[in-house]
Amino acid sequence: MATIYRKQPRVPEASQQAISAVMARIAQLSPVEFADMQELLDLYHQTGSGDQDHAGVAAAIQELLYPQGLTATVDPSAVISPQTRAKLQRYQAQVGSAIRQRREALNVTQQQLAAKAAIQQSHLSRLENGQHRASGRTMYRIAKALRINLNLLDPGFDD
Amino acid sequence: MPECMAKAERGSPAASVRPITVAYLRLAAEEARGFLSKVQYATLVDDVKRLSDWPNGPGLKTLDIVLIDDFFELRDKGGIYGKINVRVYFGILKKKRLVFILGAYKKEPEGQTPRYIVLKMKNRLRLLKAKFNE
Repeated sequence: MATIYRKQPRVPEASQQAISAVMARIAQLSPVEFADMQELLDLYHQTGSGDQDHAGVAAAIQELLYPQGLTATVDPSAVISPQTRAKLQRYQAQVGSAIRQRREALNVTQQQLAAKAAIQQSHLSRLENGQHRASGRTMYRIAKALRINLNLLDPGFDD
Repeated sequence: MPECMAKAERGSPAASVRPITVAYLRLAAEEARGFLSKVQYATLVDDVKRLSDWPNGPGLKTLDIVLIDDFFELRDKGGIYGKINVRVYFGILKKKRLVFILGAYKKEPEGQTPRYIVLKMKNRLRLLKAKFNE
């Protein structure tokens, strides 16, 4: 009776070299990095390929092994055009104007509103003048102090 | 001053002498530009610049910052960001007086920052600290 031998798939040489390189890199990791790598590998197995975090975990693993480009710095302002800056200022001016109109309609001073919203009066003044932008948290406080739906002050908010 | 900032600054009596510089990883800027419009990105840059007031200057008073592991998370949403829940991560290099922007992330659901993001930012900060002998 003839014996049938199944041919074992041969690992391509390029793959062997890649695996060797990764293993060598893992051997170079510090204990802390190695512990992080183990945690990331666990996360990789826990997330399915359809999970949106799966690719993120894979990218984190790759970055831990090959952290090129991490030390380069950049001035983030360099990519902001004058047109973009003007658009942002218009947006801030609209929000500031809405805050001022509502405050004046309620006959409340900047000082009173600032105290009620727990922000500095100088900050409120700059907001109303469109010189500053308030964080989401600050906008919630101002809207609450003005007893108005937030999206009436700033349409970028839901409520 | 938020408790997390006080905690970070404890034990550095010379902290108020030299000004703080905000430095950026190119990767962090690329990540932010990947999910923000130009105007939103300009807004974020303005917010991040205010971190030069670290640890307790007036520019920080209206920023929402929390301590995660050994780095910090700046959070914002709504307004010009619309439905985007923005997260910016930064670390402090005390000796060099640097606030280093480590990365940016668009948070999808409510809840904690994903663990892989924490590990990624930890790794970036670790590399920077090694580079700057911190």
